[in-house]
Amino acid sequence: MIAKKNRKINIYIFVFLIFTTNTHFFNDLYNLFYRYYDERMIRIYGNCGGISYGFIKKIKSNFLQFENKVIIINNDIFPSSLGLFPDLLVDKEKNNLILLNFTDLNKKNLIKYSVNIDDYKLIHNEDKCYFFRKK
Amino acid sequence: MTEIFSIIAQLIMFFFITLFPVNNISTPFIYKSLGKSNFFCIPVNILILLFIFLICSFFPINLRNVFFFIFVTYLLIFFYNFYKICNEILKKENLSLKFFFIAINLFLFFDLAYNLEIGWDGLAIWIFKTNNFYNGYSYFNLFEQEIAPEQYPHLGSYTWAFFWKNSLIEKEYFGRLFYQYIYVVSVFVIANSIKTFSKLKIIVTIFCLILLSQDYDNTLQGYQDYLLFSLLIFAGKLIQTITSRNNTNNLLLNNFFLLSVLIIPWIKNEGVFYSFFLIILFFLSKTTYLVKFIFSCLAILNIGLHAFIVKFIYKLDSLYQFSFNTILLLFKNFDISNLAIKISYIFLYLFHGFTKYPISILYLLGILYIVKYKKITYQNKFFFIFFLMQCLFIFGIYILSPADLVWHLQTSIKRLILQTSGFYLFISIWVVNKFGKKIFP
Repeated sequence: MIAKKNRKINIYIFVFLIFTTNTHFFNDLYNLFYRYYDERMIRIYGNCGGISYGFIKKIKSNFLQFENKVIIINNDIFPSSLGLFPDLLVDKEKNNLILLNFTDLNKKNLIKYSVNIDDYKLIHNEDKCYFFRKK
Repeated sequence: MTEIFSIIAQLIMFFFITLFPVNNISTPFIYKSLGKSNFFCIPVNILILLFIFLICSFFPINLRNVFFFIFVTYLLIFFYNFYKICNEILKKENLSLKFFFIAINLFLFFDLAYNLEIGWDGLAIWIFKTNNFYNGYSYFNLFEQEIAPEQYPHLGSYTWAFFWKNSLIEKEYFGRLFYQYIYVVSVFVIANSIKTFSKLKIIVTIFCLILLSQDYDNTLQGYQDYLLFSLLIFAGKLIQTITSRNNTNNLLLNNFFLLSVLIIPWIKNEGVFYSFFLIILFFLSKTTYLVKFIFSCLAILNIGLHAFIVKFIYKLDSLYQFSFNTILLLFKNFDISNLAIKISYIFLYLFHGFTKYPISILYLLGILYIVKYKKITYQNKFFFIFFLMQCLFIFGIYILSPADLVWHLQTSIKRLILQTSGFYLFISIWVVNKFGKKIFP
């Protein structure tokens, strides 16, 4: 009877341990403990590259404290980064302009997005990401 | 550390909010008709909750106010039956199942909290709808934004926004945790439907079901497919209970089934078809003609409401991603060799989909068994007929699709397979319940 009960408990522990390894429980717990939300988001969406969560977050907290409208143009094929920032809205007048993944900022390249770069002043730049404001 | 505690608090909140109004203490008569199963009360409460969300989504009501209203109501019921409910929760009965329910939820919650990635459709479509509700707007404001496709339904996004807004640290992924919770509940519902299994076998079954249906790279990244998967399981369980003895004319059970029929079309466009299929199944049950008539009218009105808003109020071109003109054009340029190529591609990608979500092999075995040994009975014919309708639906949409067929198949067929795979598992459950002792002694 006791042996049968022990065997049952062993199977329960075995299934439990398989669950923990299968769902990466200990790894997830460690990472949740040591990595903050923003760090985890940057590890997934990148600082400057792809969705560029880190760059937009930086622009939002340093340059857009009192405004919530911005236009984000990504030169690579990705869904809009705007979805990750629920308090940011599309700037139809294009006063605040964020350009992501642009290796060269020539005029021809930007015309297809209806942007004349001469109308803008560069505020901040990191690698292939730029933040412009209308002059 | 704050985040870990908030996740645990969120799980407690999910559990609390889905513990009411239906349970064995506050509504013993409903509990009785649900087969005296606590794991079956939670899905019914989820259906009621989602129906409340559906109604609230049409009005610009602050999500915090909705939460406050629901939470206070449930809190009153809780304090009214405080001792009885506490005793029930802390009962030693089903202790191992309760422990694994909490543990699996936490494992999956932590996994989601670390892997925060939202999939392509999640970022391109669903999160914009979620942001709309998160910012306090209603369903009708979605049509003004012109970012995400407006004709897509919104209930999943509303749920996401609701639990995002009403979480302790207000991070986006807290809303998505509810999708995980519903998924775990649905897996427990399936496993608990196997009557011949001991608790240990049920836990092993739950483990296998999660292993076979969960796609860790792509799971719950804002996609709505697992929601449909779970809701169809709830509908399936209701069909199973209604068609069992003495329950055919149980109006309460029929009403819960109607709730699932009304909710499903507002999750994803495919849900409209599933809703139709469920109503057809309801017609085959032994319920009275009056109930059948009223329910089908309500279901058609519900689907019609969505179509009316999209097509006539906001005058959008395509209702369900394809217009009738393209279908007419396809019939005009009908070519048999082209059709054969299309069908062969569909078969190829169906096979790929089955390997992606091996849970489908479980129900295919069940279907093969009942067909081969001619065991199609009153209880399992509903699931079998749904399967046939789903096959027609899959072939129909891909043959009529105006988009590039290979791209369309690559991006969507595996998700269509997943959505209904839980529903057909009731056929395999029927087989195991009937002949389980021979197969699993």
